[in-house]
Formats: sequence, structure tokens, C-alpha cells
Amino acid sequence: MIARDARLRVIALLLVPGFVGHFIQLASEDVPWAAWARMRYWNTPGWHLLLPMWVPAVIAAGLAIAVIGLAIRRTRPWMWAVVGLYLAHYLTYPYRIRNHMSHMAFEMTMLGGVWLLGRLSGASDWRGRGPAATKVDRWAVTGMGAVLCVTYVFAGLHKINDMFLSFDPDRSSAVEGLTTFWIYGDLGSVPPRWAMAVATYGTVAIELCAPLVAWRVPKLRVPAVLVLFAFHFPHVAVMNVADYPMIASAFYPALFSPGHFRLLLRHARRPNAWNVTGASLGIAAQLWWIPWWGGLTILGIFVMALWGWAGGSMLRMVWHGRRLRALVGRRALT
Amino acid sequence: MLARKLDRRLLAFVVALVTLQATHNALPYLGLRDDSCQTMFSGLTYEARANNHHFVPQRAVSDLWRYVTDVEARIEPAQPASARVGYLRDWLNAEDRRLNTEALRAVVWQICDAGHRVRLRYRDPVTGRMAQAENACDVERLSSPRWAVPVRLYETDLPALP
Repeated sequence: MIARDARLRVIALLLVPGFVGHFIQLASEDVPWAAWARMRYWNTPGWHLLLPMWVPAVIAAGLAIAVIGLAIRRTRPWMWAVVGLYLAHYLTYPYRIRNHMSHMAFEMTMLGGVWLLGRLSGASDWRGRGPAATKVDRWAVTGMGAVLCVTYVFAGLHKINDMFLSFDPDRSSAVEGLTTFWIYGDLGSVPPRWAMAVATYGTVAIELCAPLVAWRVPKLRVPAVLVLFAFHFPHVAVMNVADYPMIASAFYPALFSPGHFRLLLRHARRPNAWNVTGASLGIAAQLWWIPWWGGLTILGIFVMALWGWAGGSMLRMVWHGRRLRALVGRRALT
Repeated sequence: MLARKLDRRLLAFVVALVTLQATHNALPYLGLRDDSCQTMFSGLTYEARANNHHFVPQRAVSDLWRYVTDVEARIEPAQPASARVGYLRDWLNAEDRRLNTEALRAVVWQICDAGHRVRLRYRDPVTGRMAQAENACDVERLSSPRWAVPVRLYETDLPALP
């Protein structure tokens, strides 16, 4: 077992498709085996220049093996291997460091650091057993939730500028992406102004607020997470960056309290009308919008199925919770 | 008692790491990094003392974000010691490109390390005037990469501005 905290176990599980997206993006854009990539390797500053060229490749291969190990075995030592090798991969990567890579580096440092402190304090051992192992795992999840919120807050903060907030598709990547989304969704060739306002100001508002609300306001947690899914849908569907939303959403369990997440798992573990419908709608939406068949757009089908499943499960949890409250209320009255 | 001590330690670690992350993500406003600071798709642009953000000020504290233009590099001996050196020389001389200062340092360092001298003419990004180094290997700001920085921080080269 990776951890006693169910949220951490699910995060570890979701990291596997997150890393698949990471590898697809890096392999398809950087093409490290191409001759021209070797040239770029040399004109990129960084520690890789101090190492033999095979070292970053071996570290990347080791990370891939560790991720496969994590997928198959799902035990703490494999998670340790992923944490260590990912940090080595980050520090020796010879090309552009993507936004998701620093986010992942901070998440892995948070997890590895808390586990290491727990180990040094005698609270838990390398396999996650010990007198205060649950406490250590809960701190790790709390820290990962904080890292996730900081990532989103800065993504929103940087966008408060005249380029992003303009309604000009040549200046604002939000409006450019929205236009692409509109065209591939057969919604028209030019999005209406209200949609541009949602894509620009709405993006800033969502990135600044939604993760924090989901993390700190339990009553609004489900709507906030559903808003995040909806917000990321165009990125997955038409912007060819399904890896980042997948990696970000892998840490969404950290936004839940332990009790709330246990409750959600009851509705998510087995197929039911809600999550199967959600997953089907997710797949259908991605197939409708898919601009071309590529590595990341195909990963997008999986991501949308996953989010649909999670969204359906959350709605079922809310629905059952309301029914239960109404039932308890009626019984109290009679 | 032990549990409280553990809580304090873990809280301190979480707060420290989150503070570090926030500082890291604010680096674009200090001219210290653009890659991987969550600026993707943001449209954030900057100069030394100005940016297009509505309220966060810009105070560049290094030249890491700057780009050198009009570079002409000649190596001595003229015959490159290896294919790698030949490529790096060609990269320095690429037409209509501007080269990131840190990438330029990393490239000059490698050519010098291979035993060449590098005669460099370039337009200084701060003064805007042409400058020259008879042997860039002897000039620290042209040939000493900042090894404290493990990864790329900015795009290595971009099309020259009109």
C-alpha cells in the first residue's frame, strides 16, 4: 500500500496517466532522438551540459520504469522511486521546462519531503508504517493541496494584463483558444462577446478562486471542482495540452477532506448510472471537439472519461446526501 | 508532546516549501525566469523596469532575460575541434536571431572548453551599441554560465525584432 490516506492512494493512481501525458508531450515536441534535438541539447543552458549525454536519458528511462512499477504494484517504494527520479529528471532535462514540470516538481518535493521528515522523526518508516503514519500522510496531502492552489493562483495572477484580457484573438491566447474551440465544436466561426468575457475574465477568476474555494469551503467543493473540469475542457479538447490538466487534476483529491473523499469513493468505486453517464458524456464531448488524432488528443478521450466519471460520482454523492438529509428531516418532524 | 513536535515540524516544512513555490512563480517579475513559472498562455511581456501587468511591478535584477543581437563569432583555430563546436559556432552566427545571454554564455563556455578562442562582436542589450571581445573566453560575463541554475530559464533564441 502507498499510504493509509485514501486521497494519497488515488493521487498516486492518477499520476500514472499524468506521467503518460508528460512523456507524450516531451517526446512529441522535443523529439530527443532527432539530430536537431542534439543541437538544441548543446545550446540550452543547464546542468545537463556537465553530464555525459546518456545520463539524462537513463534518468528519463528510469522514471518511465518507476511509473510503470507504480501502476502495477502501487506500493510506497515505487512512489519513492517516482519522487526521486522525477526530481533528477527535472534537474537534468536538457530542453524547455514546461509549466506542468515545475508544478510536479513542487508536488513531488512536498510528498517526498513530508515522508522524509516523518521517517526522520520516527513517525513512519519507508513503507508507510509507524505510530503516526496516518498523520504524516495527511500532512503530505495538505501540503499538496496548498501547492496546487499556489500554482493556480499564479497562473491567474500572471494573466491580469492587457494582452490576455483583450478580446483580440491575435493578442489574447484565451480568445484565440476560444475561437478554435468554437470552430471545432461547430458553434460558429466567431465566438460571441459574452464567451470572450468568460474566456478572459472568467479564466482569471476561476484560476484565482476555484481551487481555494474547493480546498477551504466544503459546501462549495463539488461545484468548484466541476467548474475546474469545465474550465480545463477546451485545453484538453482543442489546445493539445491534455497533459497539464491531467496532471493538475491528479492532485484534486488533495482538495477534499479525508471524510468527504471517503464518501465520494463510495459513489465512484463501482459503475452506476451517474458516473457511467458522466464518462460517456466526457468521451462524446472529446470526440465531438477533437481537432485531429494525436497522442495528446487521444489522451484527452481518457481524461474526459475520467473527469466525467468523477463528475457523475460527485453529483450522485450530492444527490444522495440531499435525499438523506430530507429523509432525516422528515423523520425528525414525525 | 511528540505528536505536537511532529506537527510543528511538518507545518514548518509545508509553509517553507509553499513560500519557495510562490517565490519561484514570481520570478518573471524579477527577470529571473520565464519557463515553467505558470506564465503559459498568459501574454505577460516585460522589459527591465516595465511590464504589461495591471498592478505587479517589474524589477529585473539580472541579465538572464535579455537577448543579444547582431552576433558575429569567429573561432580560432578556424577548424572546429568537433562537430559540436561547429554547430555551436553556427548557432552564434545564425542570421536574424537574438540569443539569450545565458544560452550565449553556455555556448561560448563549451567552445572555449574545446580549446578554441572566440572572437565575438555583438550588440550590447543594455547600451544598444556594438561591442567586441577579442577572446570571449577571457570575459566572464560572456563565457561563464551560472551553474547555480540547473535548467533553462528563457527561450534560448528568438527571431530578431524588426
